[in-house]
Amino acid sequence: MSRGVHGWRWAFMAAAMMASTAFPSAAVAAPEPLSSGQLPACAGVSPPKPSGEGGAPPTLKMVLDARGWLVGHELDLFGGASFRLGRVAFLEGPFGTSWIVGEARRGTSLVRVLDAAAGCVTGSFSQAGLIFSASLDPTGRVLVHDLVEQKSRDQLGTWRRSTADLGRATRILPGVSSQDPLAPVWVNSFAWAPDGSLAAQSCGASQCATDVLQAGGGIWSQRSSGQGVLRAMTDRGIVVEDGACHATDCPTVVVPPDPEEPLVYEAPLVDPRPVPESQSETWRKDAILDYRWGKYAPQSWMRPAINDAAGDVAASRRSRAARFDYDADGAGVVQLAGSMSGNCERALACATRDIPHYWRISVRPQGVRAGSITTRWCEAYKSPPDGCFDLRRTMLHEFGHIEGLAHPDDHGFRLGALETVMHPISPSKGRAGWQMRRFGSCDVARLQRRYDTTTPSASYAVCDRVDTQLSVAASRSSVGYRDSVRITATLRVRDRDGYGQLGGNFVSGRDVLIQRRAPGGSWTSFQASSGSSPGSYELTFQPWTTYEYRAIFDRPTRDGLTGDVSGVLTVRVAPCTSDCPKAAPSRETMRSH
Amino acid sequence: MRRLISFVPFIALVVAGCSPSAVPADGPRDTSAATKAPEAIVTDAPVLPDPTTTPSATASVTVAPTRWPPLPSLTPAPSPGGEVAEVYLRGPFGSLDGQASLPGADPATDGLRLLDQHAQGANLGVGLRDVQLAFVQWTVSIIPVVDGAGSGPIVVSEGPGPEDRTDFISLVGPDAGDWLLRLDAQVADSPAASYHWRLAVPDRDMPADGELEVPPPELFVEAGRRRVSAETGGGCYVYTCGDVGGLTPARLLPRIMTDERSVTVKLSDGSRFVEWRASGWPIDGQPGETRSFGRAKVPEGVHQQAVSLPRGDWYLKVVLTFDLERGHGTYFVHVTVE
Repeated sequence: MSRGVHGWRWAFMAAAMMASTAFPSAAVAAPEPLSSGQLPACAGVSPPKPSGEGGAPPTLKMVLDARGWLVGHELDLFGGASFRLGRVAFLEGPFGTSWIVGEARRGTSLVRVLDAAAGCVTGSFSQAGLIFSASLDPTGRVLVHDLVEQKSRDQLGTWRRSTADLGRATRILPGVSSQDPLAPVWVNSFAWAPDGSLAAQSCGASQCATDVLQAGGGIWSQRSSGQGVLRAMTDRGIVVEDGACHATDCPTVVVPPDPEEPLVYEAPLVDPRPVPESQSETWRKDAILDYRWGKYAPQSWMRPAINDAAGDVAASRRSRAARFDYDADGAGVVQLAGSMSGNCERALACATRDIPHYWRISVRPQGVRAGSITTRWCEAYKSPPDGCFDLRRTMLHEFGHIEGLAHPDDHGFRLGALETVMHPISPSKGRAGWQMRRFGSCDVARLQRRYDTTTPSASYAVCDRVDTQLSVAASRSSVGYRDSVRITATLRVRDRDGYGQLGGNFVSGRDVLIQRRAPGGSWTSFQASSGSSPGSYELTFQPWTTYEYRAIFDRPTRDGLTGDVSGVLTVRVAPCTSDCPKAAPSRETMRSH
Repeated sequence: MRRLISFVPFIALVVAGCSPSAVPADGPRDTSAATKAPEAIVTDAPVLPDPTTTPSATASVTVAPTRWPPLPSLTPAPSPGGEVAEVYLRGPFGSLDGQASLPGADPATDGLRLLDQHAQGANLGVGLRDVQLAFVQWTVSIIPVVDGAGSGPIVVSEGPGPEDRTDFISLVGPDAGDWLLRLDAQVADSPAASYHWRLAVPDRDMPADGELEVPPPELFVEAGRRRVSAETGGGCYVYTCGDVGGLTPARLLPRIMTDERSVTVKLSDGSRFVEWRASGWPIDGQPGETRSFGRAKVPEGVHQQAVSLPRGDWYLKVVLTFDLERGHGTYFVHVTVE
């Protein structure tokens, strides 16, 4: 992917940032009623919430006539209410609990901000011209949108509005000129970084261009023929799909602001979740699945790669998932297959498993056509050419299928190139992740849910977001003056169906704080020590007065667990009756186990 | 954040019953169910092999009796209250939850879906949806749906035995015929219950190595009177996952032309898919041009979808989620919208 900064665009944007211009023809007006039904307005004007749980997400469906032509849209929201919108309409979100719905009629766009949690409209504006895309910033205070002139279809740029005053618009980026090689623009997209930096992307027929307005005031642009669709904006740069994969099942790539910096293929998780499973049944925990060579055995130069891949499973599964081992009498089979059928007809490799009965992996021989491509395993070359496939990586993928993993993309979500080895299209040499020889974090997340973690102190895959539950108990509910009381916190995984084997697990080896305060006072934190039983964390106090206690587990940065705060308990302390200090001690005894 | 709907109209649902081209799956079927629906509507059609591709499928066509022979009963055990455990049957047809009833009760046969076992003696399994639960005791029996000799149920599994797992019961499926499969089970912390499934077993043997592969159905793409079979890409179907190394060049894809700005997709065996996604990019196009042409869950009783496309030459990709947890399939076709 080549990158460059375009001076004219820089200059224009810099000018726009320094002296942003109020849009002269912004026709601010009260929202017009729609053709059938009117969206309810929130009772008071409340700004959109930046985060939190909303209600059921609204949906926008097209309404087609008997011939299949579009005649309008139907907006369903808030538990059953339906509204009819025009032929040009969009719905974007969620942004916290907010959604943006827009439609255009007779050359004027009407945009509303919906609060899905409250079930009403928090704000709206109308604008001459066509708006096709809009977005809310992470705080919910700023709305940006594109604008297109109806007749000429000229791009009029990116506009900014305050949600507190949606009637005023300010242009913050120019539109793509009709003379620009990018034109005509097909789609505009926006993404926000947590710090408020905005990425605005325009894609035309042959390339995309992204402008970044940094929160601190800087601007940079990125344009290339290989740039795919904008996925997210982070503090490290924009996250785009790697267009070199021809826009299907693309891995993501981070493009840093500095053109001299290399692209980062280990993109942050844009849509992290465990890869799906292809079969709910599992092998026994810690099973060893022996395999033998099939009737058409892999050639001698292939076998080390296959066996090494089995080793990669053992080294990277981070769970009690099955391991694989070669044994001439093994029940599993690894074989060559010159021709295959069904969904393996064009496959490089194919995995068949009926857990817990049998499994088999078939690999295309070197030089044999697999669909439109000729199979070239990199291991067959001293200097592997671009376009060859790493057999060891391919076998790791197939072993993943035998474990019960499926393709995430087939289930409608995408993961970065290094978050999984289970992408449905194997990357060839030169493509992101082509030589990945370990399960990705999202593979491990599913293996952990299916087969459990190895120990209570093992880390959870960062791809996952497993909720924890922290409870706290005291050895005694009331004690004498400066008597010992042991406070024990217990950390467990919440018992939810989707968590599979993880539900209810005790979690050890984490940083858990125990806090206490005098009733009505502020909390003081103490680091707890690991207790005698899995998931327990303890601290012994010798209090001189009554305190409230609670435990806190902050979400770790390199662990797939969420944080939790326990309930509060009170340990009452009897008044001092003998040898009492004249004043309260400045520091009491605290002992940890 | 993500954009849910683009501006261009692309999606339409087509109920199978609205299309004269909807064809019920052939092969052995539950005739009592078939007579209840208009001929053009495929509602809960049995997922059975197409006789044109599987000539050995010869399971008999029968009418279920209204009463069933008595079954072996479980050893009486205290049954706790609460919800009955969800139990599924897995086999070459995918997975289907069993209809739970009180122990010993007759099954509601009219509602039982006919499942294609695909081969005699195929591996089956009965499992618990909640992996934290366990079978305490069970009896699995099969009963011929029509049996002139009046023979009773045949017990195929009782447990638990010393080697048994308690969350999944492995079974060997019956020989050719039309069968009721019944599980009487006591599940820990759940009331005892009976579960029923109905199996159609064609007169086909298992492969010699005992490893069955079930091919996914083809995807028919239709426009008016034209029909092509889309290229089958990768995906996981029942037991088998195929992994491709790249896309087929557009010039080698099956191609269909239409002047109606939409095509209809449906499976070659008349079976259902429960969700679909369609996307595509212009033939000879560039990255960044992939467009979504729709994504939706499919209502019960619907067996085909219309996918609307703008004018142009499109490399169309359709990803389907098959019913009965059979997996996912990816299909490709070249569509020219004039």
